[in-house]
Amino acid sequence: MEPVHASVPGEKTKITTSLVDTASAAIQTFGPPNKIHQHLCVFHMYADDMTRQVEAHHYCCNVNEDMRQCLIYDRPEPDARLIGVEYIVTEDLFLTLPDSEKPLWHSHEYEVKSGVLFMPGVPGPVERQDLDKMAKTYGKAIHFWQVDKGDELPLGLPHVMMALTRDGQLYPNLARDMENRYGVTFEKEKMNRANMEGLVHGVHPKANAAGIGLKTVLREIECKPSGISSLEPVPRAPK
Amino acid sequence: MDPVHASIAPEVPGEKTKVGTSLVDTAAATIQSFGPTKQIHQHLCAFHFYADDMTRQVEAHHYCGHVNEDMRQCLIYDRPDADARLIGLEYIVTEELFLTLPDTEKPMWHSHEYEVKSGVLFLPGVPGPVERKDLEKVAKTYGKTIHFWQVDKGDELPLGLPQVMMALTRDGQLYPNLAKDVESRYGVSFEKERANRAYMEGPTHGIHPKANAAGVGLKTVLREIECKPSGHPESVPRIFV
Repeated sequence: MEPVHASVPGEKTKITTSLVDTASAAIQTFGPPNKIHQHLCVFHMYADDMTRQVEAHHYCCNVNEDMRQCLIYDRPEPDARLIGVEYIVTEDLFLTLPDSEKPLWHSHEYEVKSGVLFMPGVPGPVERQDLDKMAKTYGKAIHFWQVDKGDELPLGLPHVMMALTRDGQLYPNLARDMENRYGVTFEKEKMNRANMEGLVHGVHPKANAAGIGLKTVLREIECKPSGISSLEPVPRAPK
Repeated sequence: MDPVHASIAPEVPGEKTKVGTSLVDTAAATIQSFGPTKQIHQHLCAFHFYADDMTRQVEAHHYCGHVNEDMRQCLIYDRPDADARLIGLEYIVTEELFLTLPDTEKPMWHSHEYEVKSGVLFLPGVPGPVERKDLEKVAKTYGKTIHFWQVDKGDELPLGLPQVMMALTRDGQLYPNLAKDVESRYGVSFEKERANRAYMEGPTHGIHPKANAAGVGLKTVLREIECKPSGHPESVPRIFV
């Protein structure tokens, strides 16, 4: 299925709004987002439905040598929609996760070695320096905006996402479309990356949802009130 | 239970970023462009609490950009420093857009009127008059916030499921010590700002009864189900067996 690029409903940003934004931007600093140093392109699938495959543009930064945090947009343009996030950790950190947590994480070895994961515009040798490390990591990806359904706004619950783990999963038309737009060839990259090692201990059996489908659902429960003893308890919503 | 302040939470485990890594990053950064993230034009500070537990209150540094006049998307970090942890995100829409949402969707969104008018939501460093020009609009909006890293529990890594978050809707909810701490660090006074913002109006149609989770608790849980395979001619299981 071709990616759907519906625009977000609403007026185009007014000049007065942009001016206020610019005034703030001149005064404030944006330390955390300014650390973003890398654009990665790859596909995610919904953890309960592999037929739903989404192009995911990651904008990543290193928190430290063992962990990255990435913002995921639906395309690499200024008007892109923020559709998800991904955390990436080394194998060492992954192995410290509780067993109940591991299924929410996916391995990157296949994505990297198949050539499907790439850094747009970066020359092969520089790219491969980093991808060599990426092949040994695990990621936890969550999406909040189901752009593949054509949702104009971010509706519904956040979804856990999974990544490609073997040949035959990715729809060929999505692959071709990506290759054309970025002038890359996955097969060629696969050969260039043949020497990369993957995970030292192999793909953990609990990763990649251990092969099961995962779906987030919402449960309504008693909300625990803030219980400030000096004040009268108040309900959350104003009457 | 004393709320844990995010600034005293533990560091992310792992080695400090190596120079070699930074060099590769810098090389990539000079070649690539970061169009989407360059849209970020505003830093907003506010508090969120978990939609099933109001005792867990989290300081949330929002970095926002306009998608268009009616919608913003914000990244949420635990502090405004370069080594901050990405803990959540928030979408902000005008009342008009909010009213187009299905009724099943509205409970996951919260109103901003109280946060703005109480003075608790502010733009660090921005002079009052400039700040108020924008906050006049924010007071009429609704937000959908999801957090994925429970820093208030002291989690060193982003564990568990993403959780829907809610915002302050009346006096008496926010823990005084958290309020005092933000006021000291940023040299602001919520009471004073409240007086300055008394003229502001909230949503034209009042706060929608279905917003703010309609007053119930919401918790995201995981259900294991049959995964729908990709149905590609040579249909393959997801993982190696």
